[in-house]
Amino acid sequence: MKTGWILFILSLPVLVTAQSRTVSGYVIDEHTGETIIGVNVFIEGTQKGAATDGNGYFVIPGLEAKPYTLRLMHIGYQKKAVQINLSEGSRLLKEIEISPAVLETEGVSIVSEKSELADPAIESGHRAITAKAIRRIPAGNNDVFRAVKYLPGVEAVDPFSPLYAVRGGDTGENLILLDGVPIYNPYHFVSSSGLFNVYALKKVELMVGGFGVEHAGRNSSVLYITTREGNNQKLHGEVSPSTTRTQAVVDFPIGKNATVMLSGRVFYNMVSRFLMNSPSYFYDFNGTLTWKLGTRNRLSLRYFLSRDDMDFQSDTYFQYLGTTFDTDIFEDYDFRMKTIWRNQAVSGILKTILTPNIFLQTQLYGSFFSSQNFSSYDWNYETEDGTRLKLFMETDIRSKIQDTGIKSVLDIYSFDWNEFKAGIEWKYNRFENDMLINRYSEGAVVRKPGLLSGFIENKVELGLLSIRPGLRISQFKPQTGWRTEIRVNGAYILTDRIKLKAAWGQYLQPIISLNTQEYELSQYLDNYYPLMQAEPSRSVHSILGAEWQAGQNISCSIDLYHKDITRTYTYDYNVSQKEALRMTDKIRAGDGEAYGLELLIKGDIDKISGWISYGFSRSTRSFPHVMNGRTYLYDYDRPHTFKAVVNYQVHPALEFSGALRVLSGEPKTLESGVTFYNYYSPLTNQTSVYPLYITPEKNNIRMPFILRLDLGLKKRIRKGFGADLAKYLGAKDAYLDVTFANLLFLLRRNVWFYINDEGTLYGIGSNYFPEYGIGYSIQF
Amino acid sequence: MNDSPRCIKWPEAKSKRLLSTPILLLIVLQTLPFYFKCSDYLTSPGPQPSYINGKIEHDPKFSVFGVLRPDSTEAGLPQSFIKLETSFPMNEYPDSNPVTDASVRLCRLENGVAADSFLFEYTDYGSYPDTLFRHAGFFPKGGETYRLECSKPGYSTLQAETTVPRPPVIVPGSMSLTPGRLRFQVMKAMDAYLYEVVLLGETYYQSERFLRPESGNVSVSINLDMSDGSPSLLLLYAFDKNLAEYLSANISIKPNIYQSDFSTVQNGYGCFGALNCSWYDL
Repeated sequence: MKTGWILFILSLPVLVTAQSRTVSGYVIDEHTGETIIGVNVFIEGTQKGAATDGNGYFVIPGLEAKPYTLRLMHIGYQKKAVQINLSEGSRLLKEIEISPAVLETEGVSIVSEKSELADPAIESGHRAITAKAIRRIPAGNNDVFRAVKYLPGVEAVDPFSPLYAVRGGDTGENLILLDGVPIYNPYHFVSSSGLFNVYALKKVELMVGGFGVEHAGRNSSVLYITTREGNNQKLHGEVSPSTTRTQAVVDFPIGKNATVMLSGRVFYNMVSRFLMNSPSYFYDFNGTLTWKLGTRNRLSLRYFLSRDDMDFQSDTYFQYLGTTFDTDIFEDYDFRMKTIWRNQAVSGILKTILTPNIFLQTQLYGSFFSSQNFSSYDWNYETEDGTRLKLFMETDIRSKIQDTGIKSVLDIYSFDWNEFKAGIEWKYNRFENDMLINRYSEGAVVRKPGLLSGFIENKVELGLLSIRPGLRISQFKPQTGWRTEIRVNGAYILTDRIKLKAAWGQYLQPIISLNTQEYELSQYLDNYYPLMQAEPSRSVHSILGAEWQAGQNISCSIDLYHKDITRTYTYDYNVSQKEALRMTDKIRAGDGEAYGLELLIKGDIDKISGWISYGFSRSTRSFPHVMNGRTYLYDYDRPHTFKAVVNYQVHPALEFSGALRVLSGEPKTLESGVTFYNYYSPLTNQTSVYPLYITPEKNNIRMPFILRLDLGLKKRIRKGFGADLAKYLGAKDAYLDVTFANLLFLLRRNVWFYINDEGTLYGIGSNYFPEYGIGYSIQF
Repeated sequence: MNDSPRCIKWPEAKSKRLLSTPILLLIVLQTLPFYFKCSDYLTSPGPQPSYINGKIEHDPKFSVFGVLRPDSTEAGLPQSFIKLETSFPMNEYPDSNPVTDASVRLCRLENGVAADSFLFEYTDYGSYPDTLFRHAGFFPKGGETYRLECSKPGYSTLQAETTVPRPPVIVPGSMSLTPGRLRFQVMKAMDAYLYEVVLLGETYYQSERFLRPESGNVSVSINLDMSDGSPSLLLLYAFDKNLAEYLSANISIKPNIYQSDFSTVQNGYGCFGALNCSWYDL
């Protein structure tokens, strides 16, 4: 009954028939034909206006039956005015073309524009990075996941892993969507980077909390990646060759109404292959076909594929080490690590303008992931006093995920003060988990949950106040019964320059990922596992924020957040030996809390652009099996973080960029004692031992703070190899990219873990030497 | 002939300067680490944690690995042993830490009450591979339950219990030996949780472990690698719950992680378990 009332109130504005006139349409780039996100469209002489959304579509309802002048503005484009006449009724305009600004002065910044992920007018915690900004972050390797770690509220889990944690959440609590399709573990093992080729991307957006009911199934954040549609005017492309990695993109029109974009990357580690006899490579591919079906319909078909393959065997490597260091310690040491990952996604998206006020998007999708991570150590050594040392570990963790579904979202703009959104989604999942530990396995376990869900949310503007309540209901089969999630966002315009924001929401997550970071040297992926019988993990976000314009091109925001993690799960290898080997017996429920403050200053002043952020945060967990339920600092808790990315564009042919990170160290467990684990052979009735470190306290120390500075340079070149190659290929331009990374390496701040030797801690890190890189990019 | 030095025009000079600057910088940066002694750079402690919070002192306890088994050596001596050590603080790192002067007592339990008692002694009988706590007349039987107590002044008394599994039995008629594969079924026993199959021949050795399934007999299927000869003897070991858990546990080599007490015993660390054995000619 209570839910019924909420539904009624939420949908009330839609029940009223709109009598006013509406103007709507797509805004596209004149040169490429691609839709443009975030174009401000104003009605001259009124206070009315809108911004184009993630589809490049705008709607301005609540107009009178008379002529108007539309004014279009976007930082990267020239201004444009369009005359319209609404005397005869609402208008769905033909695509409005706008021209890019004459000088390529687009800098690096994080922007907040309305999109398919978020409505920044009412939501806080929305960060969007353009593909160009990602490419300008020095030592960012053109990687989405390295770039997002420069945003406030986002933390790396260790120096090598591509995984990230948001506002004190787990790594498996981040929903990652590629054009709306959930992608599981979108990472390359081989290069510790993301699957997505930045050349194929239009925009990367992240909601670090307080997101609306349209997106669900994860407790912490949503990363939404939009790929490019392609150039509908001419052939366009870019290629970046190098000795180990080559990436390329090409886009072109097919006829008058269709565009194609194809992109791919190939990485091959020749050193590993020829010197160590260990193959190591990856590739990924993106393809999109966008087809305009009249003025009202657009159909997009998108396909994504990636594969990683690595097989490292120790023989050659340890033979080399043994000879180099003149030691026999590696003589009886076998080590093998074999990793095969595949990811594939396909989707069809139909965007339909039903009326100028009503926009419908329907998506059919399939996402397929599989991984096999095999590692084996077998080391035997006898000391001079006859003590037999041994280490044997073998794990083979396999995971297969299928996520197929259909979803429809309806946007209704009834009045200029109201936007109503409703959606429905049905999905079928198949999770296959197989864990072979020390050569024992109970075989693969297949679980086939299903999800049926629906949501409604209604944004209402009441003068200076905007409020958007939302309700989501879902049924996660085989569990019975419906679960509800209520989320509310609000904003209040305090002055012309200051806006206050607030959000409160309930978040449920019916699948969890297994925490293997205490077992694997570096956890590279989340092994997802559906909670077939147990209650979903749950958190409640409470956020207060303020945004203000500090100048014409400088904006600031501050967010205070609290995340009440009322139910969370963990899976730990090392506390599970008393349990059976089935995974279900290893999952433990607990709770936690996270809170913090994030200050973000972003700007684009003349030739300098970028952002600076400071974050304070605290995150804790409590599990009955860890220290008898006592609360401990969460593994990725970093109280203070300072991050800055700055770009200085001297002129269109030369620019410099810099990135600085100063982060508190993360909590770690410093062991206090040692026992020996005994390997036992019943045939010989002998034991061999390996030291086992123990401690009564989890996360009892904090690592030193991290300091990292990277600088980059990009210069258009007219001579030399790159220029000659560009000329040979008939390309338009060639650029030289130079990166100087880890410039503060002498401070050795990036300690990963400590080894204790007679009371002295020796930090092992990843920053002993500076890094540099030189490459070309060729545009045509 | 003009011997005057060649002048570089301004645009060319600028171009050369711009291109050479990063290369020069790279060379300087790359060589910087070598201005420091490698030994100092790589092995000095480096930055220490900003604070050490909570208890890091270690309270030493007994660490035991004890196995009860009914079989005997070729010389007729019992195979059961108790290996006793203590845990030690992180900054004291011996290769082993044997305890030789503790009181190690085993009691056979009947309905939870001690029926027999055996005092194990730290003895080297000469024919054993290791010097450990043993008892010359101790031959447990399948189905018997034993309690272990280890005590020494200054340490908490370690206690543990185990039940010796019954000898594993292959289901009659289930064995099938074909070139490259051996199959059979082991009759399910309630007190055995893990099985190890050892195949022996003149030059042949192969070993595999199998977990007891939730229901039904244990199905064993082994691929034989005949390149090292062929097996002629099958040894079948059945482990109790304690040994099964301990031997199938994961060992992490990652430093700075939290591991709760790694133990199947009380007031200490380690494992006290039992096994039984059968053998078959192939």
